[in-house]
Amino acid sequence: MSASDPGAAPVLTVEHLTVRSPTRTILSDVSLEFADKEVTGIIGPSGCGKTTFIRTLNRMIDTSPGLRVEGSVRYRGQDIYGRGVNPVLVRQRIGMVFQRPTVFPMSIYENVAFGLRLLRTEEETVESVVRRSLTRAGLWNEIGSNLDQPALELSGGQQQRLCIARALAIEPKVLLFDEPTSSLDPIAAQKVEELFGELKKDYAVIIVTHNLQQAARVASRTAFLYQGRLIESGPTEALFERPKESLTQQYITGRFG
Amino acid sequence: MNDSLTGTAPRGSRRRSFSAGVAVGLAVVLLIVGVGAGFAVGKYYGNSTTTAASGSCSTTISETGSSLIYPYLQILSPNYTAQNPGICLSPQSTGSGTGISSAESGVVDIGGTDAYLLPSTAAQYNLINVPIAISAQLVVYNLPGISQHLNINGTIAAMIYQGTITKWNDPLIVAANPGVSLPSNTIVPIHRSDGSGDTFMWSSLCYMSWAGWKQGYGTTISWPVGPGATGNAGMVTTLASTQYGIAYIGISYLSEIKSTAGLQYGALGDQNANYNGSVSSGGAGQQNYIMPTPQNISQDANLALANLQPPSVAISLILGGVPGATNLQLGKGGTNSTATYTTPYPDTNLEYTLISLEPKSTAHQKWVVNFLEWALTYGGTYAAKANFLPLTAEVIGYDMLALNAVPVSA
Amino acid sequence: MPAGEAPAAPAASPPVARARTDRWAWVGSPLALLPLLLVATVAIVLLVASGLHNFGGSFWSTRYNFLPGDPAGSSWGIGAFVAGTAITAGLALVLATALSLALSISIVVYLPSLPSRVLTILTNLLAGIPSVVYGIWGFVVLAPYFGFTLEPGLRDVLGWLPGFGGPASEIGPYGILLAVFILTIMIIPLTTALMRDALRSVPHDLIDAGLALGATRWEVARRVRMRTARLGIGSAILLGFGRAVGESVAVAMVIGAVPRLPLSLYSASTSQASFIFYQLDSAFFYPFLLRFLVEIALVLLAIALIVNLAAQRLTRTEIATATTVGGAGGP
Repeated sequence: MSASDPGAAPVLTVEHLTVRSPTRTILSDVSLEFADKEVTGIIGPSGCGKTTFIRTLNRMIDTSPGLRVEGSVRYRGQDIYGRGVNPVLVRQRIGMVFQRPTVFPMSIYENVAFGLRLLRTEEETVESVVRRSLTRAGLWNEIGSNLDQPALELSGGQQQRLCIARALAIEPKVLLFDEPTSSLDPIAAQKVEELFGELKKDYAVIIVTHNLQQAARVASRTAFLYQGRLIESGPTEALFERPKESLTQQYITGRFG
Repeated sequence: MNDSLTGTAPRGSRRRSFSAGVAVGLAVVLLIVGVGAGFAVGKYYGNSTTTAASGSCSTTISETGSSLIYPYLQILSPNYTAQNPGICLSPQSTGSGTGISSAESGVVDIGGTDAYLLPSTAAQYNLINVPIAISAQLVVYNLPGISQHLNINGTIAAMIYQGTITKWNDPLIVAANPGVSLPSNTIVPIHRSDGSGDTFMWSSLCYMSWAGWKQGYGTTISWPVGPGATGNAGMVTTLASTQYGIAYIGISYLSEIKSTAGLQYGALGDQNANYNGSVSSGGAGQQNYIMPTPQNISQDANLALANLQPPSVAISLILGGVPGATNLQLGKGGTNSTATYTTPYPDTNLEYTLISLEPKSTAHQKWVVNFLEWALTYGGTYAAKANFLPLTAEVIGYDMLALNAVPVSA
Repeated sequence: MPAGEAPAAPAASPPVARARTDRWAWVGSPLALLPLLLVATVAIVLLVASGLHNFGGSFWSTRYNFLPGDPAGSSWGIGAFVAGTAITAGLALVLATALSLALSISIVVYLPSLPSRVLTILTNLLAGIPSVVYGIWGFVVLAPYFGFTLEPGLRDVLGWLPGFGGPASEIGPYGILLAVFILTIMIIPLTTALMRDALRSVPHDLIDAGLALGATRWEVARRVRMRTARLGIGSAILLGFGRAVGESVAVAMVIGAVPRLPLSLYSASTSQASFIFYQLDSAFFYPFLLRFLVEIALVLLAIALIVNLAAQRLTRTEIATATTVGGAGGP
């Protein structure tokens, strides 16, 4: 592993990122850094561009036709929008979990093994990685004995944690979460939330959420987006208790959003 | 692990572009197929003939049946209407079986059929057989290197289609064709797969010529050997691509046969072949081989009528006309005792129309009879256009007698 | 989904009538059963018409020998017809499935929107072409090419493969190969349209999830789309099979129509539907032939019913599972 020193250079560096659709500007001149082994929260009201922003970080934005991306997103120094960059490789390094559970109509085992199958991993390795990934996603004790069961039969919360296990299985360096608990009931959401403390030991974790309490609980740094612009970012505690901008102040106190 | 983001994914992404290429390629193929189909359709509709306008018809005579008669009636229809304003003929090509059943049930004025209705059945339904034209059948072959008209007789034909004779240089064929050097290749006998009057004629010829023939005769039979083809057009196409093949094809396709490379038609032997297939030579009972010329075909049609006792138009003309032979047994018509013609072509057939002796409306039936009389009188000039032969005066005479018996009112 | 749905279509009695009084509620269930009754009536009429004359030991044999003058001495085996139907429809289905999958995937996944829309319109247009047009195209344009060029060439090159060799005398313009080709072209528009809809109905979330796991578009198409849409694809295949099995005119024009087991792919053979079509006229002459045709039709009816019911079952299962995809959970 060629991982650099913890705390040194940021894993992801966003500079002057602007995203335009044919009719409007969705993100405007956003610059932000993400450190390794840390949870960063992205907050903001609906429509502020948070989902678009997180989708630019692993080039999932490519699937939305008509959007133009300017500026740069650098992963360990390489611009992921640079010439010759293969988005498939980007997404292998920078995994993503979505708002709603997205399990495939196959067994639990095959769901977790999905990314490994793409890499033509040997079956022995697959078995151990599936077990390890499910364990880290806190699922092994619940479903470890039922790996051949169709994944669609799991509860919503279990499905979402299965999606996390599936993302972990291909050993990414960065994990992106787009409102990962918004479709879950409170108990299931709590179980997912509890995972972040573990995950940050090994990964750079970036969470988009409209749930301010969640950001406060899990993120060590937080960034506030409003109408496509980055208003403020910094250590979570500072941002929530001593916001520099009045917009931030108004948002975290619930005057809009 | 390498952290580079450039380059290919760690597996064949070449495959992706390959399958994309395949997909696009298939799309193009489909496009071409579509366009091709369009052109084929265009070609067909472009060549279709126009029929008479039906706007001004006060009386419409309906016909359905034989697909062989259909083109002939199509040609007659506008010409008849031109001379009889307001009276139209509406023919349909559906098949002889349909023609007979529709005439029996009375849903049409005229039923067209390649095979006559048995006199007993005709009497039961109060129908009469009215021959309207003469057709004949050719034996056609695809023999590389041989361009002359070969001699084939019914016995040889039956043995080929039964699978008893399998090689072109079989002694029986060689004996019938002295001086011709025949190849040793296997014969491919091609038959009609759809029900047809042509199959009726050919299987009749086989049945009457060789005692060993096992399949009977009819508009459709089971053929022990050989591939099938649909319609006379299908027979021509199949034979053209089948070297050493042989086929029976209606004479209306003569021009197609002549214009298709590699195809030639033969002369057919008369009844003077023995059932065991041996060919006698010289003296009485000598085998004659007769070419399908208009004259020879007409002779066959006339013979049957001129000498048949009692007279009837419901007859088979297959192998008709050998002096002294009882050779019209299919029609159960009687004995043909004398012959005034020397070279009747043995594979000839009358094309029939069926009309009712008990019409629902005698006023309407007047026009049905009027049309048939007109067709018998003037049809001869149009017959060649449909590749038929005109009826002879003798046949027309019998027809006119028969039509006189149909009740009509003014 | 155009074909196959028909038997289940008419629902219960009109809601207005039911709202007024329950007295007429019983009308509802017979109405729903109407299609079933219709099929049953057809089957019974056919059964009576055939008089169940030939069903029995030799009915399934492959020996068919029709002697016009001797019905008792004829052999009435249906085996060759069933085999011909299975071979032509089966092979056409394999080809059409592969091509339709490739086409529908390229329409849904790969092609930019304009060519994709053009292809969609084109396949819909092709689906509307009457089968007799395909038949006449095969009869006139393709048959000589098959007989002169393609089949001799295939036999030379692929003769070692089972089905592609066999005696040279089997080669001719009309035969199984051309029938399979025509059937393939004929059912591709139908199966492509159905597969396209099935692939399109895969939730976008799942596609994104696949891409986010580092899968290429092709891998997502194969492992996520096809997998998720497999029941829809399955029912598309079954409906295509139903159409191929029932096709009469186009097949009759190109198959060569010899009721016997084929020796190779080039052999003239026959299928149930096409045999009925081209023997119907003769059946007016020979009542016992008509009876046999009716029996072939009965067997065809049974096959078509089974295939369509299976397709409907798949479609229904798919709807049931589709509603659970990504739908579990939530407060």
